[in-house]
Amino acid sequence: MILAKLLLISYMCFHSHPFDQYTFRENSLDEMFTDTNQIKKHYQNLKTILDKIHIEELDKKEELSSQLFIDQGVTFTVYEDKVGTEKIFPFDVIPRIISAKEWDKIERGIIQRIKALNFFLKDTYHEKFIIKDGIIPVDQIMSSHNFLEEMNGLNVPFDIYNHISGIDLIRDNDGEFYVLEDNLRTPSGLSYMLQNREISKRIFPGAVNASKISNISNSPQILYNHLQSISKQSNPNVVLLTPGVLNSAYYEHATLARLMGIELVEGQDLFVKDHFVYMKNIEGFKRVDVIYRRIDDDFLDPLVFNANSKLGISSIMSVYRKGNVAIVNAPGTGVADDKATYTYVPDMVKYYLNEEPILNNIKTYKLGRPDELEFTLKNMDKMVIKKTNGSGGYGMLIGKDASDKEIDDYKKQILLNPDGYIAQPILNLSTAPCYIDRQFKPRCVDFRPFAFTGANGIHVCPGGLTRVALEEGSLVVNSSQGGGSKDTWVLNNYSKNSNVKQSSK
Amino acid sequence: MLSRVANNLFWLERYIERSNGLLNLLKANYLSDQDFQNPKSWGKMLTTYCDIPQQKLLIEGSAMEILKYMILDLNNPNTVINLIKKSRENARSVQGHISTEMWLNINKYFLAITKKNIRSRFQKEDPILLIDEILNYHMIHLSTSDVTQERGNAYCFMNIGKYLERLFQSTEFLLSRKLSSVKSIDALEENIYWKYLLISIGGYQQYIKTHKSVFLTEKIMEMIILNPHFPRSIYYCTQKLSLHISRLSTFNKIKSTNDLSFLVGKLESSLFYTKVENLNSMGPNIFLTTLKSDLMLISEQIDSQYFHYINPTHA
Repeated sequence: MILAKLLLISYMCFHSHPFDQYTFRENSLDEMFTDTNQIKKHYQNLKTILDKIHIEELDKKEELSSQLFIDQGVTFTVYEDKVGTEKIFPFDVIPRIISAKEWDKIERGIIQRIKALNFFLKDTYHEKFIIKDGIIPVDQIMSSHNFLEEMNGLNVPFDIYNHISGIDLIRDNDGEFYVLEDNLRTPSGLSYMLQNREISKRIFPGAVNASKISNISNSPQILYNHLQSISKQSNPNVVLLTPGVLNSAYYEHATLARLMGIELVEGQDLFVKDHFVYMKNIEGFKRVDVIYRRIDDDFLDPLVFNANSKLGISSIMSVYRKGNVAIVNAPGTGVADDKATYTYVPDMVKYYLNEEPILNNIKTYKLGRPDELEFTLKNMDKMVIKKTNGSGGYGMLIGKDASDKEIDDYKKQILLNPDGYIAQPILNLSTAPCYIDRQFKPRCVDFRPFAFTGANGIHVCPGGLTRVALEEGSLVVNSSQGGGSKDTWVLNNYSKNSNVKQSSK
Repeated sequence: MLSRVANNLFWLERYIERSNGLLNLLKANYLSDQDFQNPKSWGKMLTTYCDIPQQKLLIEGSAMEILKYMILDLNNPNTVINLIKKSRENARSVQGHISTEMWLNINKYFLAITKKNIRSRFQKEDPILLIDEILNYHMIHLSTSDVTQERGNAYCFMNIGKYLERLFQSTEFLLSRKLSSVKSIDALEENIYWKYLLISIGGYQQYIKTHKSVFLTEKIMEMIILNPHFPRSIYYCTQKLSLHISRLSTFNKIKSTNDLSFLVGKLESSLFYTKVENLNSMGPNIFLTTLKSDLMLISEQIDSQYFHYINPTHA
């Protein structure tokens, strides 16, 4: 009797299981399965869990995850009507897993890269050795509209510029991770990394704690420690500066401030007096020592940058110059993460650190160079072309998906200003299984881990945001263009290099 | 605490309290309408909440139409849906200062009342059940803030918002009823009028227990204005207001002789030394008009003392 029941259960599980029709995306490596359809070792545990779950339960889990996001207000508002509809960022219930060995390399690679980028920022705004030594052409830096004249010669606390970085990685067909983009301005997604994990705990009870996953729940405390470490004060007042409730990332701002226990402020709450920044409190003024700002450079100080900005604080740059307030990330970091500078990062690693890059760039053509421009124009159908100052997946051309007219138009744009463009061969993003329409389907994913730099070193959160291109065949993972996200499990059962967790500067 | 945060906490609670009062009023009016159609009492309510009497609605609309309008209309800033929307917006901007439980409830309330099917539910379902369902979010709000909210600055500002709003509501409510014109009542219709009036501010049971079912203007006035144990009475709310204002002064080391404490203290003692006879000899409407301007002064003082602390350019 019991045997019959067991057989029936296994029959049901086996035959109705959504993995049955899992097909691979052409020319893409899959995160979960080998090309011979074998389950990869680090996914074994998850597969066992998923095999036990019936499809109706998966539907319920998917529903539960949406409900949890909505109830907790993890939403952005779409103003289609007067009320404003609350939407959630799509979330896929199946976690993405990174093995401990892979993580070890990613972590080392990110620390190395961030160190080099920080040296580059210090150098660019001071002696400019890298230009003098001919590693990066001068107009590359001076022509970037992310280069801030106002930062020239300004000494920032502890020489740290990129306190919070999000490095976008993708996995190519050779199984290696490559850097797609460095986000050094105000990278977002940290709260989603935390929130996605909380949701996983709810929808797969008992799975997270049993799977030897690195814990990320103390990331806000670590971030806070890094933030306060850069102040001269012994008990600094750290605040998070948001543009306000209408900003689409407001949830993230509110969440991070709440989790760190710091005040969430708007520009109108702060003012400058006698070379210090103060906040307007009910009991009087309180000095502000560290500002984790989530507004762009341009809006920071209406007296120095965009005069129309109501989001910033007048004269804050002069306080910054005096060293009386720390701004996180430092203004002007954009010069290091723009798409043209990106191509020089491996050279920076060699130049500043005398090391070989651990994580490599994707092959990138600079269209400002005549030979590379010619090559790109001949091979446009095999290329992804991007504006050097674009972000969010806007203004880019994916050659194979574009019509002849679109290609022609884009070509004209490029020829007007070739320096403003780079090209990369069309990538093969790896795929990971997603639960879509009651089946598991492979979808392209990237990976954004977050790193904090403070006076005591660099910390890479052992996790990150896996973004998913939910459209079939799509390579665009940006949330503004139909992308979703997944929880990312970094396994911690690997002990070869236990001493690299914290590397000092 | 930031002045902006304090201001948002204050308004978060004012909007919640305002919608609570409105829902109770709607419910009582609807019930009394089932006994006697009384367009006047709807009219008073619409004037109070919508600035201009919505004549068209009154003539053509059934009680149901008015209910739907006052709860769900998006163009009027004082409908329940818009009040809750604003309250939630304020809550969202002060998430770090209110308990998670409180935020979750306000967010759920907002989602429930903006749900697409709510209009059709008013068409099909019993409106009282629906209003009760909505009022339940207020009950949860009141209890979660009691059980989970830290007794600090945030709690004080929320309570000041709550009691000030209640005071304004009760004053408005009494003013619009022109109490002096009604002496003693025995006609059935008037009886029902008073019954639902008391129900709408949640004082019916307490009144019946004290005065049996003899409705006398004097007694009703005494209860709504001077009773120290009725949680919606003017005196009770003033005491609470005064308590939270003095707590704030202590927390923020503000001298107890500041203008705000002075104004509230003055109002509190003058209510303490007012008897129902004084109300009568003074004329209730004069009393209420003076009260209203006192409340305005207090409100302005809260504004200047805590919310717009000092304009930095003048510092």
